[in-house]
Amino acid sequence: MLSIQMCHVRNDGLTTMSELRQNEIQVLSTVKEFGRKANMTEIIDKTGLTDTAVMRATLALSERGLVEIYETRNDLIRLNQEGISYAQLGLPESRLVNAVLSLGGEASIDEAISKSHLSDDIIPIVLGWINKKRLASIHKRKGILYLQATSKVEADEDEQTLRLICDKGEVRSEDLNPSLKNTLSRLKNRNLLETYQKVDREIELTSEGFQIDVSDYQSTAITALTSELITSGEWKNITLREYDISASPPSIYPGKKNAYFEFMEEARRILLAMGFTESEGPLVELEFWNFDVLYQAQDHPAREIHDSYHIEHPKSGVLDVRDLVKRVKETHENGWKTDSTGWGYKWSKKIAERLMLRTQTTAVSMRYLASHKVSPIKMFCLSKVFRPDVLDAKHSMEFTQLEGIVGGKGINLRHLLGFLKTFASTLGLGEIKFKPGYFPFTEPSVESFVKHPKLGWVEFVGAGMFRPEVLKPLDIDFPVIAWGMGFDRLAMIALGIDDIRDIHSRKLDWLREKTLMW
Amino acid sequence: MPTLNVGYNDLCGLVGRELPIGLLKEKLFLMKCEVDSLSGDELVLEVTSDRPDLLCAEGIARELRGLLGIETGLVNYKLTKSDLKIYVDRSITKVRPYIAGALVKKLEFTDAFVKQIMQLQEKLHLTYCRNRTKVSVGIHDAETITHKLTYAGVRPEKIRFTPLDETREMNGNEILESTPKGREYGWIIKSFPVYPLLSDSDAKVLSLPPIINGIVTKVTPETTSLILDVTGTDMKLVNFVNNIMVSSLVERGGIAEIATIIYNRKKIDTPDLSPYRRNLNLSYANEVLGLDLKPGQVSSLLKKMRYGIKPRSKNSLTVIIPAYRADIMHEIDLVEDLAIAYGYDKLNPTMPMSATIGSERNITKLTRKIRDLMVGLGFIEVLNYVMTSENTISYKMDAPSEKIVKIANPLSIDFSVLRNWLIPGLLSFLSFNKHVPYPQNIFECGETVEINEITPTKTINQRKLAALVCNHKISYEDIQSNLYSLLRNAGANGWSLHRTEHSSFIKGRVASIKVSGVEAGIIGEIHPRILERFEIENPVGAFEIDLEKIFRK
Repeated sequence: MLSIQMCHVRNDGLTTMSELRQNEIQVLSTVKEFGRKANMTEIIDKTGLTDTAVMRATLALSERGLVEIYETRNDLIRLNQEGISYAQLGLPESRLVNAVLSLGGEASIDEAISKSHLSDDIIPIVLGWINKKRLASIHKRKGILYLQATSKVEADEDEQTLRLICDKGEVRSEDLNPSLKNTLSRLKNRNLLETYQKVDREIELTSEGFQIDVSDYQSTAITALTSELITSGEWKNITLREYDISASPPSIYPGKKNAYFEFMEEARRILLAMGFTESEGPLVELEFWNFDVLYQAQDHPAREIHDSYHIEHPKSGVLDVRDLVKRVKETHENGWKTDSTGWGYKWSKKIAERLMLRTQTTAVSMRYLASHKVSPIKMFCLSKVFRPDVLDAKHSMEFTQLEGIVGGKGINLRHLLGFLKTFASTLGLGEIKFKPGYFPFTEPSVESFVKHPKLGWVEFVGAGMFRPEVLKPLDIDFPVIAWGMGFDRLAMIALGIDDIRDIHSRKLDWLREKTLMW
Repeated sequence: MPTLNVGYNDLCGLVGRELPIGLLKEKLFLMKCEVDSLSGDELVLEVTSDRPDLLCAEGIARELRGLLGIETGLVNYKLTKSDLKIYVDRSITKVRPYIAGALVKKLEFTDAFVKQIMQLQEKLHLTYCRNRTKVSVGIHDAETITHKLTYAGVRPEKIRFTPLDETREMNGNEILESTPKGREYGWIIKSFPVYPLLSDSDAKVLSLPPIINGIVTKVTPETTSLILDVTGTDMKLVNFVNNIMVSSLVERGGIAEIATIIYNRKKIDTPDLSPYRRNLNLSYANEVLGLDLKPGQVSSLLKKMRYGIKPRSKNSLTVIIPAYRADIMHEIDLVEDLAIAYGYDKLNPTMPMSATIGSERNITKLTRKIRDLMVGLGFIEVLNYVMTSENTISYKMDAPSEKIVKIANPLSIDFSVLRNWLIPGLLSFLSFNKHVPYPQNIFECGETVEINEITPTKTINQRKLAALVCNHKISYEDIQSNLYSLLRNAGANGWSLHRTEHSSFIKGRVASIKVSGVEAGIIGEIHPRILERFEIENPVGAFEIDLEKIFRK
């Protein structure tokens, strides 16, 4: 424990009673009540003053040699986001090796990564640890890395320490067993820990301070002008003390909106100004609306278990749109009247009835088109979608999509590009370029990129014109252009956020300081 | 999107022209392809998943030759008869009924070629063939076997051969259990009494589709001709994959010969590289693209995309589609290719002139007013995830769990259910901020989801507001005054508070908020038992209301 005397008494005889302010008197008398010593928390509780007011008064008293301040600094350790996630999910090297085991004891690096859901960018480091800890053997065949493991990796010292710290939230470094020192420095080097200091302050009266009789304190100089002084006319007989007008005041924190939410409001304002109507649908969705109406075949990879969240209970919903179901089924099987070949497989209603967390807000567009068939149509949806992913700086299991559709006679591909260009420039995103893309439900399909001053060309939106196989079963007889953008990425660029988790930040001080400007 | 590696020099060689890298990048960007990176000679490309024919340098070069105008129109792939015959036994019907094949001769095995053909096989397996379930491809040295093959379903214990990369003979069960490929793909055929087996008339085994080849037909640097076997559960896809493989080999200079497939009652020659046809209506194409292209322009643009063209009428063309194109289902697919040939960079973006009046959902407007008021009351807005854990919203809160929507396949226990109320998320927020100055007044407006058997999705979304006050000392009144002020200023009518009990709150300091008898929210002081579980050291007052219920008109 490190204990230091922070301020030395200044014996320059400056102390005169008349210069003590109200708060200083209050602090002085409170410390006296506690005997001769009190800590900051006790003083705050007793006086009812804010912590900054007490701190200021105490510093002033100490400058006058009336009190001494003793600070105790505690070094504390807590886990950062990455540390917390490893404490919960296990260290990535263990997860990778265990993934290899579940793949039969040997697997290529790509298979193991995909099984373990680790992100690619940490793999070189993870391999380093596997090697170091001798968890598996790594060898190269035909230019491909393979991992071979024989036994399941149990939680080692590193992981146990992570869990220990995670359970406790924060620990004082000196409370930890000295044998953990090495482990801690390893975890620190892996950048899983945060160390910070907490300061405890204790205030002690000096003999000079102790001698001051607070009750004697009277002054002709007044700090606060009161209603009584004004109405009684007494103000004529007093002097009002001068303030240090540039001293920094105590911080106050306004009630404040969340910057990300406000950026969503900005996008909404632009869309409203462009004449779009807002819509929404259920977060737990039938596969039918999320995939089948969108002409995504039932064996499409996006429908597999690792690409969408399924519901444990209830597993299935009810399809209450009989005619549409029939038309969609036939469109998938043989093209129905859409003049398409269809996918040529046996469509299953049971699959279409399964419940899932929607993976695309295009499900909302489909619901909208099923009930709005009169041209012109302009709809947007700014809402959540979900895809299986492990939360880290770049990935999130839920994120916001901004979906828009425009339908009407004469709507064409150039209009789609026009919209995207206008929207990007209204959001202040600047230069934009287009390339051919692929989505199962649009043709032609477009991907567009915006130029970011630091990041270069960034993918901005996926778009296209809904296929006849989508529109005809919905009984829509005019073209519809559609786009869906990953709104979080856009927000991160606009708000200057580098870690996607900061959109849902749990740091109150960060939220208090985060400006609402972009 | 699938990615593939292509040698820059190899690609230029196949295109037949030296392409500056800048130009190459630009051209690829404007087709369904994109350059990810270039290091040394190696290009890493991304290709969209609808174009399996672009999963190799040969396919990309064929496309580039068209777009650059080096060679346009349909490629005429010549096929000659061969002695290769594949007899399909009835026993295969239930496992993996279809097979196609080819014999390709006079191949020169350069490094670049071997890499591309292996990569094409692998990428097709991963994407179009759905990880070998629908289709799989085997490549064999044609000189090592007789050309009379039998494709049959064989009981696993009767199968006996040395698989590729192994050193001893194994039976079907052993192969599935103890070879790496067997463990990876065995599940596709494991449940069937017989496994698919392709062997020659000397009982030499070519392959056990879709698992592994036999060692006898292993391709070596001395190989000059190949036999392809393409098997699967969907005849159309089997043929497309065979066509893509064979046409790529021919692009490399190979001479392709036909394999005759002999089913019980019919004979089919594969590959069938004859093109198929679709009509294209010009005014339809122009309407979709917003262009005014003349028939001559349309046909020269489509020829750049390697189609053949036959004029039909003033307003219509017959488009002759190469046999390797597996993605043309509808006229609209030809229209997209027309746009690609025209150039996405040349389509002049324009705004449509349709006057509509924008409107928001009522709940959006209401949420905005509520957020304004909460901020005015001094609260900071917090945003939590909709996904959370049962531990947070139920166990730690002593709250019921029946209505919670649970995820069947969560990746982390922390995000394995959907929240049905907001207060627990806000409590967890507080527990992360114990060292930050108090008071901590926070709120969140957001979606919650709960089970509701009467809706088609068996669930409903609700827009809720929750607010928490937390300080060294608080009272029920501190939270109550905020709720009253909010509801009064927002103009809520007909609401009242009723004494209730709730395990998350202190007894006697909790009320339910009702609007005309309907429960619409809860308010109270959080029970210290709950605070302890969240490791919150200061008292907390909280309310949560269902916005639509409170402000129902």
